[in-house]
Amino acid sequence: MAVSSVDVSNCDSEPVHTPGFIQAFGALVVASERDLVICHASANCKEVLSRVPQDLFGLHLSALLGPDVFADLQSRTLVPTRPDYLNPLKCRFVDGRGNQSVLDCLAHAYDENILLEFFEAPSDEAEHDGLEIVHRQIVSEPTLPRTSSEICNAVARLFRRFTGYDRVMIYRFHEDNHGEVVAESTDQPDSFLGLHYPASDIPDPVRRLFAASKTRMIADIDDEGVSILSDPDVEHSGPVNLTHARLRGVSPIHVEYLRNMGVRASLSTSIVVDGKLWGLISCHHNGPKVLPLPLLHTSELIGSIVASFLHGLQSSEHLDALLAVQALSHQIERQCHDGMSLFEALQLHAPAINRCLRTDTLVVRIGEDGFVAGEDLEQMPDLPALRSHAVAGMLVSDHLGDYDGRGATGDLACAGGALLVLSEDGSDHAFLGRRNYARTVTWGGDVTKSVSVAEDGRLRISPRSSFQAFKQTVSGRSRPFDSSQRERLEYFRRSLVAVRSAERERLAWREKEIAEAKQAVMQAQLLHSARISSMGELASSIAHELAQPLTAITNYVNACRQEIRNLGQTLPADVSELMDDALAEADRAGAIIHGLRNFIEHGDLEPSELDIERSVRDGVGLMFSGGLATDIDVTLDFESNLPKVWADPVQIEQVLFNLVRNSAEAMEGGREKRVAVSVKLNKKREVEVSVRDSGPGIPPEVKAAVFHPFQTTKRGGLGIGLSVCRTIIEAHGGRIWLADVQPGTEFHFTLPVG
Amino acid sequence: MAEKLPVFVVDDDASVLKSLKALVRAHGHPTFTYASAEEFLADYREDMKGCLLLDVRMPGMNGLTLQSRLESKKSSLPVVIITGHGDVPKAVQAMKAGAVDFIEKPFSDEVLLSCISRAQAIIERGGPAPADAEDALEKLKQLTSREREVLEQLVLGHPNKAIAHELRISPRTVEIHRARIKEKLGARSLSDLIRTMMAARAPAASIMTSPQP
Repeated sequence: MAVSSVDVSNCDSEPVHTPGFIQAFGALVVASERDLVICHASANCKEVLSRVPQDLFGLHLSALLGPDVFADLQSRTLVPTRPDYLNPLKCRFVDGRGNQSVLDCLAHAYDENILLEFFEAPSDEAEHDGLEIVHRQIVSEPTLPRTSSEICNAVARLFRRFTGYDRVMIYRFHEDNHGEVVAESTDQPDSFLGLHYPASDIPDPVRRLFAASKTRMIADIDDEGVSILSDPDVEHSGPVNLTHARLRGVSPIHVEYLRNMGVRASLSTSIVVDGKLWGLISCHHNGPKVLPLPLLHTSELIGSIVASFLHGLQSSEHLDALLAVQALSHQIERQCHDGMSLFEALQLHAPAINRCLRTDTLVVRIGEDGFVAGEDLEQMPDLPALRSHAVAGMLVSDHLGDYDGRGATGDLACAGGALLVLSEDGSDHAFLGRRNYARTVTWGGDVTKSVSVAEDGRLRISPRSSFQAFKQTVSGRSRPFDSSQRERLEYFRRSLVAVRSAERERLAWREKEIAEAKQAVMQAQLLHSARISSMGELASSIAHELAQPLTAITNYVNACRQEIRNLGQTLPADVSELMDDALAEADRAGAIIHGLRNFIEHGDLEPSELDIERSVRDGVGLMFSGGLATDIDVTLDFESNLPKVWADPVQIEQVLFNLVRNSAEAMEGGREKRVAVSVKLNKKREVEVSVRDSGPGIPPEVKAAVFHPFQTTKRGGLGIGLSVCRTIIEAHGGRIWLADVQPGTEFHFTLPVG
Repeated sequence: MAEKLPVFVVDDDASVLKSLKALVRAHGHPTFTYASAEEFLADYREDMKGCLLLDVRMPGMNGLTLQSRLESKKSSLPVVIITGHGDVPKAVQAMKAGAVDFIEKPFSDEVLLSCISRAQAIIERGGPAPADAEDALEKLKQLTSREREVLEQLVLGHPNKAIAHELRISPRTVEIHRARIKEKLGARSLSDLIRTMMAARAPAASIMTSPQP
């Protein structure tokens, strides 16, 4: 508010603690702390103490108090902030007519002076009544208050009963120092409850006085002050500092203020929580009222009790709220850990989040996704603009209009909030918005009219002439965020950032895995097609090239036989047989090439129902026919009653031939040469053929790639044998694999039953 | 012994060419060899008489092109196609263009000689044998509709897999049909199947145009 700077400076110049006069409900005597000689006295000393002030000047305190009371005084510590209300000095004075009166005296040392304040001693009855009420009430309160508002209401009730003031209010200071009546107990028809008062009503110097001194009693504003007289023979440094004097005179501005409120007497008790002025217990009375000293003590005591109550409550409220946020954060973390996305988790918990953090709306953006939960507030802040103001990933304010260019004025629906930045690149954030708070504040009186221009041209605050409730529109602000709420927001943000960063890592990892899997599939496809095409091309050109000499061989043999016939000679039977064998072999070679080429190019098989035993015998027999590899011990083992298989006989013979030839070559030069071929029906009802040799085995580094084309350990080998075997077996719907045996090598393949 | 039919061999593979010459000559046929289609065309005369053994796959001009060149020259030389790598669609194409038969390398002398004698019969008859349409149609009637579908595909030179895909059946079923078709039509080879189909397809035309004995 624009006026606050004006009125504070104005009130700063008010001599609130050195007014030069006191209130009339007691008398004041001031002695120098140095020599204990009286140098000031209030003008009413004659009436109260039966001593003319001028007679007191230059008098030693012992002469005023008598030796016993003086000794008592000297035994005390005289701390200004701890007046001994319950055990005041008991001073006896005798007036001119010989009447004796007993006065209570509170003494304190301050600012090089000892101040003695004299009060009429209360009747024992009054003292007793007040305390009785307090004790009864505290004991009889059925339940202990659990919220600050319950405490405030209870205290207001209690206070009014034991003090008897017409109106008791609990007045709370907000962060901007303006006050609000948060509890009230009164028998008056009007109510101040819920009214706000500008900070200027209790200016800084007064606030400081309140913080220093626990109670402040104004007995009657209609009393004219009693002036403080000073010893003219002594040099004084200035007016007496009455900061801690119960009798301190009331500033004319405040008198006017109270008068306009219709108040004649008041009592204010400070509530100081955690070293800060939390608020006041403010009592108003329509008539003059003096509270006896023991009840002032009780007031202060209750103020302290309330303060410690509030302090405990604030701490526990703070703790409860923090625990609630921690529990919520923990739940979100756990659910995200179990696979829920942060987006889903925030959506799920949006109501709880708004509740925990006292916000009205939640706006979330995670990557491309976003949602709004809670109240659908219009005029949302410009979040990207807010982000540039975020410090340590957070911007918290009750007037966001200042940050995003919407301005401080206007009736912004979403006036305040907290932006939580959840990732470094700014693509993820959560915004917790608070609606425009109390668009109309009900002030106790029209605050705008309390400023006037004085004759010297300075702005001057004057107390409001009317305290009729005045409604004022407050613009562009939400309910403020206190330090506890900020702490909760920070905690919540740290938790979400951790979850989000883990989530992003997981996503990146998954994307990487998917990409790798895709690449692997593509590589496999590429490899497969490369294998097929290179195999196909190779097979095709081999087939073509081999077909030529095979054709020539066949032709030559046939030509040879014919030429002999032409010569009229009959071929010996064995020679003719040899020629037939040669032709048959050329024919078989042609068939293999033909089949292989067809098969690789088109995947064509020429299958038929096949007796596997016979095919195996033929295939293996090919290898060992013609006196080759005679030193190899070959065993064949067939399970009885094997079913027929559906397979291309040429191809299957080719597979067996390849496997056995590999074995034979592997064992070359070895001492023991054994090949065992066995055929059985396996559990999957496939015919399974295994070929095992006693060779050195396949080196581990080659094992994995043993079926890849052009993979060979043999000199002069092309490395397509096993690759062709695999292609053939897989085309038959079977499998081929290398078993893990020691020593030697064992290949298995399966064929579907026909 | 009657004069044997001269045989002209065109093949780019020298060893095949030389061995064919040895074989065919051993069987008493005058034999002429050419290492390329171009070489044969250069030597070609209209009054040439004999059987042309033609390799289908050759660098430069291939067998099919040479066949169509000769067709345009109104050549009456019977052509036997030699396929070196089982290129069935090409062989089918050649048969449709009038080739007597096709044989796949390597081949037995029996197969070769039967081709040559078929060519000799054509020459002696002064044209291709009248297609026995009735016999062919009779044979085809024994086929089921699915077998006929498979046959249609087979004579186009399509491999089993392509037929299976075309007819939406398994390659194994195609294989079974194929065996049954060969059995029913009494065919030993694909060329037999093609001949049967061709006979059944153009009955009226061959009857009308074929010279009456």
